[in-house]
Amino acid sequence: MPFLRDKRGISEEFTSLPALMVVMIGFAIFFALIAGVYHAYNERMEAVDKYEAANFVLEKLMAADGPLGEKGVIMLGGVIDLSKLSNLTTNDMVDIRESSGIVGVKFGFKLEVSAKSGGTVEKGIVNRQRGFIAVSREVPVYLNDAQTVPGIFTVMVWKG
Amino acid sequence: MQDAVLFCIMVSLAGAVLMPAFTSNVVQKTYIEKENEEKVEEILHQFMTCKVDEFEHLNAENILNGAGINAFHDSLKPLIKNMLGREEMHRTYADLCTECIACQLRFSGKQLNILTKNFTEMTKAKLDEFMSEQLGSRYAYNFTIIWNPIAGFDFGGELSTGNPIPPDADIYTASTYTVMPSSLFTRDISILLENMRSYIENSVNMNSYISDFKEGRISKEEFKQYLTEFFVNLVDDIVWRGFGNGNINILDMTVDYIFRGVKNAAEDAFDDAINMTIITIMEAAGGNFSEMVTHLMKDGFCQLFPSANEPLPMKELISEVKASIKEQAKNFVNETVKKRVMGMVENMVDNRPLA
Repeated sequence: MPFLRDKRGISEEFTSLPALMVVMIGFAIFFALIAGVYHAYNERMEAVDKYEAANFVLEKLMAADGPLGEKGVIMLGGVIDLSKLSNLTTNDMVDIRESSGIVGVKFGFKLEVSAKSGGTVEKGIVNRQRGFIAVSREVPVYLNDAQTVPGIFTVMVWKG
Repeated sequence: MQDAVLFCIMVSLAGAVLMPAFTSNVVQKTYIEKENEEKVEEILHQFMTCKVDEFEHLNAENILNGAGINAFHDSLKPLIKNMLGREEMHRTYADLCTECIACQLRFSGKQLNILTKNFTEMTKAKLDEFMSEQLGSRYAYNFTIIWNPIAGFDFGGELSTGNPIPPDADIYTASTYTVMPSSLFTRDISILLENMRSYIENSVNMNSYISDFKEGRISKEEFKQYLTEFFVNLVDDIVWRGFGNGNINILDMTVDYIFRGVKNAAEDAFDDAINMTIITIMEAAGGNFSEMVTHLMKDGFCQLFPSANEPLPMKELISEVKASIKEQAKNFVNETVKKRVMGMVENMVDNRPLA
């Protein structure tokens, strides 16, 4: 009987399949690992970038010759004048944003002092649902010639 | 199959190597550390600039206690508060602390000014309040302010609040210099400095060893000896021997300042005619006021200088205490300053040849 006409087949164990499966699982785990590490690294770097961006805005605002200093809000020695900060208008905030030279992000700020000294003042913070990044500093707050109290100045930054 | 298993082992090894990158948060930790460092600086800045709205203390509170008078009794409180109470309004925390340590007159770790012990206690309480408000319960703190006008000599003032610093804790520190309020001591120091300047100028003009050394008439060793003698004499004059006819020296000034300070504080506390009432009250309570003050001061001195003889009258006791301080100062000069002067002269002559 010629060889090609022989229709009989022999079934035998395909031993390389389980090995292939193990290799595939190994590959999958390896890629998952790499992806995980990359993702975690990326997230951390993003968080650090956001913090640095917000910190940069805060430092720029707190400078004596910065946009808030020009409006008289930041006094000598980094003291914040509460009444001047409270009296900032929407137009003042536009001025501050423009003169700060900060582009790509929008920012607003908040000053907290004890309730008996004036409570909380917020300027330029809109739509709290967005992804805010916030950085705070402990600052002395000037209320009047007789009173300078401790307070917390927070800058909030979001993509605009 | 063996190859596949080997491959899996290598993947596991890769995972083990990459695991720290998964879990590590070094960058965040570094930023948190940085934030904490900045927070301490910010709190110190607030301490220097923020004002205490209301602050009061009671002079001579311990004398009243010693006389068995309850200063907070309903009937006596307004009277005692009017006469001995002191109120400070709208002062910065830094001002309050510097004033407190300036009037402590602390010597050998003990506060000589017995009248302002309550001032020290109340300032500590106010500082505790401020620090707790700023730090909450998450952090422990230690705040210390020291005034030591003569480096190496144990005299000045010190105020410390908070917990002792544990040796194994993560510590964030901030420090700064602050200005002391003007006092008799700072005024006398400026007179002494003038005297020192003129003494140095006169000595340099009178003594020719600098030009002799430059022109090679004396050897280097002789020059060092002359310079050492000059500096040692200068230090002796400054510390205890005194300059010129007035014999102004830092030791007499300090000792006088301490006793004058205590006397002034006593006069300040009890000077008004109306204050006679308090003396009358105290005497009615069974004690003679001046005897009580003298007794308290004697106790203080005898604790400081165990060699002092308590039964002596106050004036002689003070002379004895002064002599003891003078002896300590001489030892301090002999043991510490002279060695440093010799080292300084060696360094000056060997490393900085005179032009």
